[in-house]
Amino acid sequence: MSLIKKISERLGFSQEPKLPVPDFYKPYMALFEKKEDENTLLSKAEYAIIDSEATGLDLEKDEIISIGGVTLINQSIDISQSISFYIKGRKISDREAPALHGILPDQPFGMDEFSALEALINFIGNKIIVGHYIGFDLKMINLLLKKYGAPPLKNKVLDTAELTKRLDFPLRNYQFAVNKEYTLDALCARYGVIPKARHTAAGDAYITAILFQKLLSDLDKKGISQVKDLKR
Amino acid sequence: MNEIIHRVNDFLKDFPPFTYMDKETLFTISGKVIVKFFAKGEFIYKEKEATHEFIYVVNKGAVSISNTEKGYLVESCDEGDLFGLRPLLADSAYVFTAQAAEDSIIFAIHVSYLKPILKTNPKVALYVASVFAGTLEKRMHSNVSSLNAASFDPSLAGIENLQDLKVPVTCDPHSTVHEVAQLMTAKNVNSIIVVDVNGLPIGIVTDKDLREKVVAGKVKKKAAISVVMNSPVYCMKPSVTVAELQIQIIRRKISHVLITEDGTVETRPVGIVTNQDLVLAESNNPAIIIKQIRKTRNPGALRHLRDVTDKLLTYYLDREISIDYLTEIISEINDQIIKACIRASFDEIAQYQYNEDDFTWIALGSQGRKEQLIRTDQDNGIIYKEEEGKSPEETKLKYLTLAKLVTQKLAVVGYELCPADMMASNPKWCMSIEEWKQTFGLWILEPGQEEILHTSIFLDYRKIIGSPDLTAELTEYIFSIIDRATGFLNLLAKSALLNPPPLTFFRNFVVERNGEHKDAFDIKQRAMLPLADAARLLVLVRKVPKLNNTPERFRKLAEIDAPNKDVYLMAAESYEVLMRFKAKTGLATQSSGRYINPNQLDKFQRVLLRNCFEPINDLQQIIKLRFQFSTII
Repeated sequence: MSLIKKISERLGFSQEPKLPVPDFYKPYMALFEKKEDENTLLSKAEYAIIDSEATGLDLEKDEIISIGGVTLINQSIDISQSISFYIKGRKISDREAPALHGILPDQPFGMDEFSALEALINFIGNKIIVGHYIGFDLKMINLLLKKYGAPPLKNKVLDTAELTKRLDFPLRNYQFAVNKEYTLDALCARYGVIPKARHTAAGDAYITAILFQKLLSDLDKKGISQVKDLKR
Repeated sequence: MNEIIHRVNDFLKDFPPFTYMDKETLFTISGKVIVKFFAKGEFIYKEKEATHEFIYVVNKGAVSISNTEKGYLVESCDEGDLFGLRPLLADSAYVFTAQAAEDSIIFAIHVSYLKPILKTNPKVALYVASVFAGTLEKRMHSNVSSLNAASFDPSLAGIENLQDLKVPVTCDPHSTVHEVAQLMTAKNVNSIIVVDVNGLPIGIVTDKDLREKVVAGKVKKKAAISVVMNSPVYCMKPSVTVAELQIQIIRRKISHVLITEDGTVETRPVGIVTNQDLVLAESNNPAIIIKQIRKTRNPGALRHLRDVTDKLLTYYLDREISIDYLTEIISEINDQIIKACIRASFDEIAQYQYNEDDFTWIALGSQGRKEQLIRTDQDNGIIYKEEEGKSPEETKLKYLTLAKLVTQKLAVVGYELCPADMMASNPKWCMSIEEWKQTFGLWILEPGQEEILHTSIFLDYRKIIGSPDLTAELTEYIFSIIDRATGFLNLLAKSALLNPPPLTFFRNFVVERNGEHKDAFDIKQRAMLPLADAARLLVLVRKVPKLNNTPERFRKLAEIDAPNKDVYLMAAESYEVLMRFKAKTGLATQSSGRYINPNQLDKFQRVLLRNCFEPINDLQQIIKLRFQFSTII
């Protein structure tokens, strides 16, 4: 089973919508009507690299605090197209607080939850979603979509942690992978990416994007250059 | 509020030209950056390819800029380096190829964001221009110079910074001395400008003139003021800087400078600046220091004055004051200190009478070239006339006695004794004019390797005190034999080629491999010496007299060897930059400043230094061509 499909299924993407979709979701959904060309070169594909911060790790109780994202189009990250949303009324996480020190305004700020969600799916569009251990983030986003009566995200997904493992273990014997060697911090150290402004959603998304570019180039060297190659 | 922009901003802010941008501008630019990853070996652009609309900054990794056609590396860019600037010049194609030498993250900035900044921020423009001049060709160089003069010295205070620029009080030439004195008293001024019917300045009268000429009874009170006035009046433009005023006041030994509309006597006066105004402008005024040195005989006090000079030098260096002004001022101070030590020694030596017409104290090496900004070892000598009725031994002893005392005093001031004993206190370098001629004759006509080392120091002799006839006679003698000295000139040329341009293949600095200064860059040996050697040789070949200072030598060469003008002018400028570096390092580290740690240089300094090495290669080519070395070695 392809890596993409496996992740997508595990995250419950394959369910068909049963209820009428809400208006805000329709333009997003329309983007997926056209059948995607699987021969697309990885280097030509469009990616949305995202990361989110939540109040905790409990899918039932916890909520998203912030979402950050950058796009990778034409092998370029355009900083002006990056997003950094903070949901109004939520306390900044303890993780984010130190990195945001000095950047945060004193007064309350942020977007309301629904606007942030709408802006997020507009930002993602039909790009391939990329993230580091992205599963939890996607579950949170899908729960939020459900809250507003919308089906889950429909995008293809790539996980930088899993891609790295794939490069490290060409024989797919992932049981030998030591998980702590695949945290974002560990990979930053491995690839010499300076983990500045880490632990903010946008900062982590940016670092993940840099890492992803490096991975793409390494994949290319191993002959993995098309989207469909990742299925094998 | 986006942490990614902050992240980009945090990176850029540490590197020029971004360091020179205001916060808001830099933040806006940071928000527009495009981030690209290039794996090792990938091309960012290739030569002859149409230019992109971006310029590039290495965020991480390294990029090599090369001429692939001819197969040489032009520059290796690392973290924070700018490259691919062609689009800023509206050039349509790249001249070189940029290739990732390692996996690299590159920031691309659209030229439309930078162009407006180049127009409004001269520091940014200068930096970009100097990177350009460094990596590509020299055609931008002239622009760098003009920018430099116009706006890169924002701290070089103009006269508007003087406490109050006074409007001159004027009178007509027919006023009597008495009337003028009354007018000056009434207006409470110490000078008056005599103007013609059109209001144009024709002369100046100061308090001192009235005291010396009128009060002393040389001129009658009813005489016309035109009899007393000094004419013409020395004028400067309103755009003049305090530093330039100081130079002129010291050089011309005047107390007042008139500011006219265009700096000549053909336009109306707009202000008058006095020496005192300048004293008020800066408490540590070089003119004041020189004045105090002239009054002092005590080496301890001289040392203190020289320490104050170092502070002044630091202040000037920080403000990017031009090197020719600095060398002028500091050499004058050094010279005055030596004179003070010599005259003090005259008084202390009871058994001999010294007459300044009978001998010349010469400074050698960097002091002879007026390039000694901070105190280094002494290099000096004495040329004397044989005295009638005295044996040569007696005369030599007389001057050696003087030299021993003077060199000791200078050591107290802080000019250390020369470890190679190239000092006037060494009988070898305290000689009669005839002996000096013989010595130089031997060096020049029968040269060996050691002589070449000597001549490179001794040929830069300069009179400090005493008879100018003696140095003139020696120079004349050298010029008279130089045409016969092919072997000598060839050896001198060979030694000028000993130090190749100090960049490694990757355009890194050639650093010392071992010893106390391991990994340091020897700016004197590797960068300044090749330039100074080339300048000395080339002026000697052309018999240019009385020109010792290296930048001045290059500027002279630019006049007389027009085809190579650009190389010489660039060499002059480079040498000045290097002097500034050495002095700054020396003051900061309390050393001679010759060893620089390349890792501690900021990006701008590195680019500037690299640019300074370029003329070395060009000069060495000129020398090779002139002396046809390719056929000899």
